[in-house]
Amino acid sequence: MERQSVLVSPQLRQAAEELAASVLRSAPFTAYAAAQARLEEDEHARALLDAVAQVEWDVRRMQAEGTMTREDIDRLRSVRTLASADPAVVEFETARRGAAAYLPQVNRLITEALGVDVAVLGRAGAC
Amino acid sequence: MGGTRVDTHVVDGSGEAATAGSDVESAAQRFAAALAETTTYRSFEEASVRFSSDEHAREAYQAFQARQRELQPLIMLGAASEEQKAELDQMYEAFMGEHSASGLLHAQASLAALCSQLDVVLSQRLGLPFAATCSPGCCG
Repeated sequence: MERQSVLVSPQLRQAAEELAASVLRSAPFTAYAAAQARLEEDEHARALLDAVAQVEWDVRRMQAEGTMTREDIDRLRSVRTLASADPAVVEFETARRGAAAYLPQVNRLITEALGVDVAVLGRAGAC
Repeated sequence: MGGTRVDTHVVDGSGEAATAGSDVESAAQRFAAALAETTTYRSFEEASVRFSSDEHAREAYQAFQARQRELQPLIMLGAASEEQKAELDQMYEAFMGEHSASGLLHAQASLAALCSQLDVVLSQRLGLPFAATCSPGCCG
């Protein structure tokens, strides 16, 4: 499909904003927000996640440059293991997965009401 | 409007979750109704009806699809001949030459562009990528 540019009307934007607001009030998303807030307050957990992000970035760069070694993979596995054992990180990841699992159900409601899959079209329109 | 209820027990099975579910259900239906009222969506619906009632265009599409399915393994392996690729191109052009077919694809592209913009709005507000989470495969 050719890529096009269309404008979202104020009414449609408002409906999208209201849908997002209602999803944010749902149990999976309030749990996600609470877990996110707890993670923000937990310096140790944030440091672990920062370390994972840094090592992942390093490994991707080394992979692209063809300089990655066995030790780099071990280092990545090690920081991921440490992070995945932290209670705040585990809670956050569980809540994030719960929120993500809720979205296809919301999309199914829209699809059934409308007759077309907005998520599939949205992805196609972004390509 | 459909009657499916969102399963709010994915994470939390409390009574409060059921209330949030009906709130989401109403908002999803209002969102679908607002989208259905747009010129873009109406054009897509009209183009779909025109294409569905155009037997010639549907035949051209089915012929193209059938040949594409046959040749797809060869194309993926890079083993399709130039003649086969040209044949497929000709069938696609024949399909696209049908007014109702090109109209439908154009309308679908417009609707996809609109949905893509709505995805940006939803994803920004939710803090999670909406379309990518609901439809993991690229381009559906």
